[in-house]
Formats: sequence, structure tokens, C-alpha cells
Amino acid sequence: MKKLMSLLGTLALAFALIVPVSADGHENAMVRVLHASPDAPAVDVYVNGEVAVEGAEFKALTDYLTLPAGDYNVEIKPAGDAETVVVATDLSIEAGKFYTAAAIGQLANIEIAAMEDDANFEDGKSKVRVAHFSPDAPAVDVAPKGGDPLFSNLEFKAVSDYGTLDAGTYDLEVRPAGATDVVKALDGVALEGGKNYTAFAIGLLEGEPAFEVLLAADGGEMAGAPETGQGGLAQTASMNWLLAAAVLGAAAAGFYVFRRQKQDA
Amino acid sequence: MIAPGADAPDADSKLTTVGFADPLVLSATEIDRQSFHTDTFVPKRLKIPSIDVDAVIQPVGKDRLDRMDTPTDADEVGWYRYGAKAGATGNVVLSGHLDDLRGPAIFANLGELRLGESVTLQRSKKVIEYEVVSVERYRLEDVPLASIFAATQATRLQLITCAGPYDPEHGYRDRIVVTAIAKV
Repeated sequence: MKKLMSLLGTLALAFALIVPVSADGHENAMVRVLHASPDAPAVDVYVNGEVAVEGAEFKALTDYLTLPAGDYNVEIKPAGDAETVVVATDLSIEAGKFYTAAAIGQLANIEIAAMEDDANFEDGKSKVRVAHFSPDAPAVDVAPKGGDPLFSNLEFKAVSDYGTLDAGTYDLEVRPAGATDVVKALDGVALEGGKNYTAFAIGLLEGEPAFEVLLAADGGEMAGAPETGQGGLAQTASMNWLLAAAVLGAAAAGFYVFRRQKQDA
Repeated sequence: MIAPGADAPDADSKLTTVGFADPLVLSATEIDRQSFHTDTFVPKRLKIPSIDVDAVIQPVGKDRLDRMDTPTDADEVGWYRYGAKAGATGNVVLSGHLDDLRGPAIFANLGELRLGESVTLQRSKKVIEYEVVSVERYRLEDVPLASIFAATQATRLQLITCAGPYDPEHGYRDRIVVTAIAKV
């Protein structure tokens, strides 16, 4: 029933036109999509009935899409199959903010998890968070090798808050919550100062595709497209008009002079 | 390549589809630990042999309308200081003039670039080469700003200039965006 309702919502929204993105970028929100459903096929992502991402496979993270702030219906469909909706959701997005929408869970229980990404940066620091999107993994801690957890007791579907770390290279490990054995060792994780990151734990502990962790930089410093012309090339075209006008003017003046001479004669 | 007479899609056209941001797969093997930090630099010189560009690069920020800036000198190219450095993970963004009041400027032929052609950024002895992977033309209001300015795990270069009909009040109608990927 829920799916039917969102489908009806989609139909209603499909008739609404997408408002053009503002030129200076002030009213835009930025949204990206992650395919984290281990057994789902490659998908297309539709925003208000229009295709926005094509052929995203498991593990694919898109660039941020630029959308005017507002309410949207996001639908995920099998790649190339516009008729079937795998899962859909409504998203409200605010101007100047960044979001990640992730398709998570096994196909039978697929859902969309939406989160806001931090785009406020600190010099020399990295803000990092962890998203647990591995459906069969237990609750986990993420810690420096052998150290105390930086992120504790994250269950499937949980997204941690951002923690602030000094920029640098870290050897991290994913452990079952409260335990010391290692689910996954992550050596040489390089975090650049002034950037924020989300680490997405995806895949399956038992079976394929295997458990792994993706690191993605979040947010960004947005700007409008630059003004890169002063019309010099276009002026050559309008110059022809000026020239034509001048010729016409001269002809008219000539005619006047001609008339005057005639009258004088 | 975009033919000089080519037109951007209509203003009421559809959403621009986005590409992928290539997240880094973290693993226990020591992969490329250096890739984040080594030899990224603020670019000083841009060379695009196929369209005869050899230009000085100036760092730029945003203008009072919150748009990316472009150097006043129409023969120079602007590097967006809030974006990535040359060779770094993320988007390195460069803007250049199509023309000034007198005629063609440094990026007049940007739209003639073809896929696979080479673009290099330099600062003294440091050089990084990129390969053109897309040449697109958009109406100003359809430019995929987030693909250009927001974070990505890809090592990309974005070159922007104006195109299309000129209106003294609103400037050029279109923008050309050339995307290139760092060669490994």
C-alpha cells in the first residue's frame, strides 16, 4: 500500500515541471545517490519523473545533482526499465545544503536512507562519519588500530554523527561492537585537512558482494557559473548591423541632400 | 567537439544527468597512500596544445553575485581557490574568457576540444596531465554546478567558458564545460 501511495504521488508529481536551476546557485540543493543494496540490479534514478542517473551499479556513488530547493519524489528503477519502481521516497531539500540518498538493504527489503552531508569545513581538520549499510553485519565499532572506538555500536541503517579528526593518515579497524576481533582492517586511510568524509560500510559479511568500506568526500564550496565573456565576438555580428545602419543613414542623408539640391535647382 | 553553430538544449529541457563520483575503496592493503598528499599544487600555467592555449593561471574566488570569478586579463585563466589543487582528488576548476570587448580571448576555442586530447597544469617543475572525457554545452541555468564545484572522489579538471548568443544585459546565454581526468 505504501508503495502504491508513493506511486500515486509520483504520477501527480510527474506532471509538475522541474523549475530551472537558478543561475547563481543560491537556491539550489545538492543531492547524490549511493547504490548500497547488495543484490539489487543496476538502476536508474528518477527525480520527479525525469531520469537523473543512468546505470548505477552496486557500490556506485554519483556526483551531486544540482536541484532547486523544494520537495521531490525520488524513484529507483531497474536500469532501462522505466515501468518498474524498485523503491521510491519523497525528499524535502533545503537551499545550500548537501544530501546523500542511499538505496540500502537486500532487494526484498530495499529502502532509501537519506542524510544531510556536512559542507562546513575546518582548516587542518577532517570531519568524518560512518554509515553502516551492510545488511548482515552486526553492530560495529570503528577504531584506530588497537585503540578506543571513534564510532561505537553502529547498527545496520545507522549513520553516525561527524567526528572531527586532525588531517593525516590513519590505520583503522571495524570491529563487532564491544569486541576486539577485527571485521575489516583499513590501513592508510588518508584524510585531507579542510575536507569532510563519509565512510560507507556496504556489502555482505557472508556471501557476495563482499563487505567493504567506501570513503567519499562530502559537500563542497558552491559558486555560480563564471561570467566569461564581454561580447566582443558577438559584437562583430552586431557590428554588421551598425554598419548597415550607417550605410542606410548615409543613403538617407544622401537622398536628403539630393532632394535639397533638386529643390534648390 | 561542439561545432561553433551548435546550440545548447532548449531552456525547458530536462534534468542534466550526473556521472559518478568514484568513491575510494578502503582496504587493508596499502594502496596509494601517497595519492592524497604528494605533488598537488596550485597551478600556475595551463597548456592545451590542440587549441593553442598556453596561459598564466591566477587564483580566483567568487564575485559579488557569488559566481566563480575570472581574471580581468582576458588572456589569463582563473583557478577556483575553494576547489581542488592540481593533481588532487576532487574538481580542479578553471574559468577563461571566450572574448573581451575587442574579440576572441583565451578560451575562444574551448568548444573545439575533442575527447582524449591533452590538458596540462604546471607550476615550475611540477606537471600533471589530464585527458578530456567530455565537452558539453549548457544553458546557463542548466549548468550542473554541483558536478563542477562539489566534492568528488575522482581526480578531475573542469574548464568553463561562455558560448551562445550574447545579450548586453545578461551576457552569454550558454556555458561550455570541458571535463578532463588526470592521467595516471
